[in-house]
Amino acid sequence: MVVSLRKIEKERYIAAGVITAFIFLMGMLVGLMADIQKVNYAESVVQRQDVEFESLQLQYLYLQYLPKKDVCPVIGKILENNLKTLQPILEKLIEYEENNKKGGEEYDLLKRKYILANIRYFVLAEKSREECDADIVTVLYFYDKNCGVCPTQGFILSHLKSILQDRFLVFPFDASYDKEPMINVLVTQYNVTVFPTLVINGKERVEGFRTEKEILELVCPLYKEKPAICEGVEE
Amino acid sequence: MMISDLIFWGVYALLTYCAVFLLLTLLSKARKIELKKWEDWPAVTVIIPAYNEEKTIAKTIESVLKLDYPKEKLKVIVVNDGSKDRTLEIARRYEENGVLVLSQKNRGKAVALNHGLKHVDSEFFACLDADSFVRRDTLKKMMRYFTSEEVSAVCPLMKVNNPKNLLQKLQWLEYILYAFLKKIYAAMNTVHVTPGPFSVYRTKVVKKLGGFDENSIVEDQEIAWRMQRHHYTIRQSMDGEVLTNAPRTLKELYRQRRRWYVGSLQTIWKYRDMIFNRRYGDFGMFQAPTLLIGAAILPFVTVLITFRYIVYPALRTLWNWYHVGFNILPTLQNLWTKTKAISLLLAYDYGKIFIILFLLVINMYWMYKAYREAGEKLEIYFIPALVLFFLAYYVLLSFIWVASMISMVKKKGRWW
Repeated sequence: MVVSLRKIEKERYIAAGVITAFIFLMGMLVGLMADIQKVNYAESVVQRQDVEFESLQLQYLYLQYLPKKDVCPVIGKILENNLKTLQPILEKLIEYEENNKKGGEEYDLLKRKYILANIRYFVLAEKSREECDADIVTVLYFYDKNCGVCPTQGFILSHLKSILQDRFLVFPFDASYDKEPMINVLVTQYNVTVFPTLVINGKERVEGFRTEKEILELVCPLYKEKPAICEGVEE
Repeated sequence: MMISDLIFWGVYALLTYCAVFLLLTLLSKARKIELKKWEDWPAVTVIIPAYNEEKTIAKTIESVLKLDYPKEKLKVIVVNDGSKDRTLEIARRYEENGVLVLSQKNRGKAVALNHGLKHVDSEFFACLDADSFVRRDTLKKMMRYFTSEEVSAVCPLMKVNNPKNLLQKLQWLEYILYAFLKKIYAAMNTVHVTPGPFSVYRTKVVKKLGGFDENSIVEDQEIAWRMQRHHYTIRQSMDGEVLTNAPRTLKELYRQRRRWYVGSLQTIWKYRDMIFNRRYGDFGMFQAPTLLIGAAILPFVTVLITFRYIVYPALRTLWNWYHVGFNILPTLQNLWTKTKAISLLLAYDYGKIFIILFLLVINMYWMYKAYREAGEKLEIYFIPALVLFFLAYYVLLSFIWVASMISMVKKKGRWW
């Protein structure tokens, strides 16, 4: 019993296509709405941060006329507050941006603002260390998108950061990001040619991957009051 | 966007399309068939090909002899395919029960089936692998699906016999889901395999088509494709049960699947002109292309995606942990304090999550329906756990597929 030609219900094929397209469109819409929320939120964070930092700079400028002993505790406090509240959120923004490989003007602006904020923090931290004798260590961390060991280096640095908390300040810079000229200034000033490169306390330049132990050996001698993790580290 | 992302979303769109298509078919076509009420049950011959099955052959033959079916209408043929063990000896014990025992040199299952087929003079015949068992009511239930002359074969509801370990339980689940899928295939008339454990055939159709293909390593797929090529109808029974022994170890599973996967490719290649051929209706436009994707691309992509999104990040994380002496507590604590509601908002791509959840929901609906159709009880909260297990199992099968392809390229051996 042979049937001649089988029938195809075209409608079913088209309907399935339409529904599939609809699902994907809905997904995109949800994603788009979430993105708008994210950008709005990110902008509000940066704006708030801008104002706070301006206020901080003004306070700093004003306090410079005061005797050193009065200024330093205040700066320390302000720096600590800022690092504790704003830094993590800014880190999240960058993490998000890197994970999602999103381009676009908004994100470029955000990223530049983040970089500038990072540099300002660095300058402030250096000043509080040099002038106010703050017992902290700063690390400029230069990495590159094409560097294979950098994610691991970054992980080790965040690991140390989560142990040493606000006594260990890491300022990561993506050297391959060419939209912010300040990065070039830093790269040129510290003569960064290989990745990763670490600059400790704004002076000592360390090229190439460093293990946790090696970093501790570099960092521990710099503390006046040794953190617990530094016990047993050779100096 | 990276290439791996593109592949991921391409495959994902394809899968979603297929899932939606099958759901639409389920809703629009899978209505109850008016089953045939036989006044006079037709004659049926059961062919049991056996190669080194001394452990199960007795139970298999006995399950057939115990079938609730008129004795004068039921004939049993055992074809010993040159077994090296006591299979033949055990089978001969049943000659007194009217079982016809044939023996041949070891030449493969298809040859054994054709050998048995020569002795078939009944209107219908069934094949039964010698490691499978029928229930008393199986045959009668299946015969009701032969509603018209163009129905050339009826497939049973295959279940895994007495699943003991996790691997067998996963296969049990796989079979249940697969049976439901085949019910929808049957509604479109696109069934592409009449499995070895107890498919019932209309004798004159198989003889007219020239019997089983002795060059195929998956003769049960090949005959179904050939029937589709000649526009016959293959039905799927959701109540006539057959129990089959599932591979117990990974090695056994690998051997079984290697034969299936390589055999699928062989069959698809043989009938490649049916792919996207409108002459063959839904079989040409939907079934054949999806089978090709499933047999030639999907497992490979699954393995790639598993590496890209699971294995690589996992190794990367382990590598990072190794560099801090696996002292990850500070990082975790830090993560905890950092993880505020607002950073959660930033951490995910909700568009992706929405689309992935959608397929998961379809999957769960699918599993629920399949359980109900197969007459199995299921607690609703088991479903998510099962879905996860099933995903892991699917990844495992994909790895087996890749291994099969490598071994196929490396050597050409005997598969059955």
